[in-house]
Amino acid sequence: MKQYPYLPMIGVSFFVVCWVASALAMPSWHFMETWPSTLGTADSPYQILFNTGMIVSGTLMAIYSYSVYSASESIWFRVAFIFSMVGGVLLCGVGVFNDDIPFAHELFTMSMFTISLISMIYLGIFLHLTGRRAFGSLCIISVAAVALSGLVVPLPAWDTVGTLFIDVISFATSFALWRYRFYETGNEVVP
Amino acid sequence: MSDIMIFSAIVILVTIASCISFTVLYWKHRNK
Repeated sequence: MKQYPYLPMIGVSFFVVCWVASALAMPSWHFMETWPSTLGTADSPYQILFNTGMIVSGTLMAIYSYSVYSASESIWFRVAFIFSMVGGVLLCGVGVFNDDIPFAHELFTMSMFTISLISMIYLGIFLHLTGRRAFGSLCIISVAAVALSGLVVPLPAWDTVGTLFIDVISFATSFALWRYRFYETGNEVVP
Repeated sequence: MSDIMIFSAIVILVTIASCISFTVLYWKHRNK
């Protein structure tokens, strides 16, 4: 299958635009104080926009992950992108089941966060094994930092931190994998 | 602890367990 290395960058940018627009339209929503999911509930004027942002970026992430899955023979790489594909599908679920259906929303959100973070750990291990140690360490250390920050940061803020983190690192890693010609040179070391 | 936190903890643990089992199964499948 043809690879689409830029899809996560489009998806993340689109989601951030939807997030900012729906946040500006809802004066009672405050950054780091209110759950981001509140923007997708019936209280939010741009409810549809916020949920569409998640559905679109989740779909693009799933397509991207499927398209790059076969770029390496490494099990770490392949499993990382299988998980990232599942994460994309779950992100669509987060958009479809908004916070007005708390049980389903929580189920999709928590599994999406966990599987995306695990996917980044696998990608970090792969990058380490193929000699991209700085990127690898960055992936693993930042995942650990975000996960551990949950112990000290209050929950609505942690949700925001996690969302921003997944946005930033999806953008950065897909950019790095593209920019550094990863697809041509990434297969030399197979663990 | 509130119900939602217990629920979240269960979801996170189940997800981690499935990820580990999937990796092990995939690893075994590849090495056949």
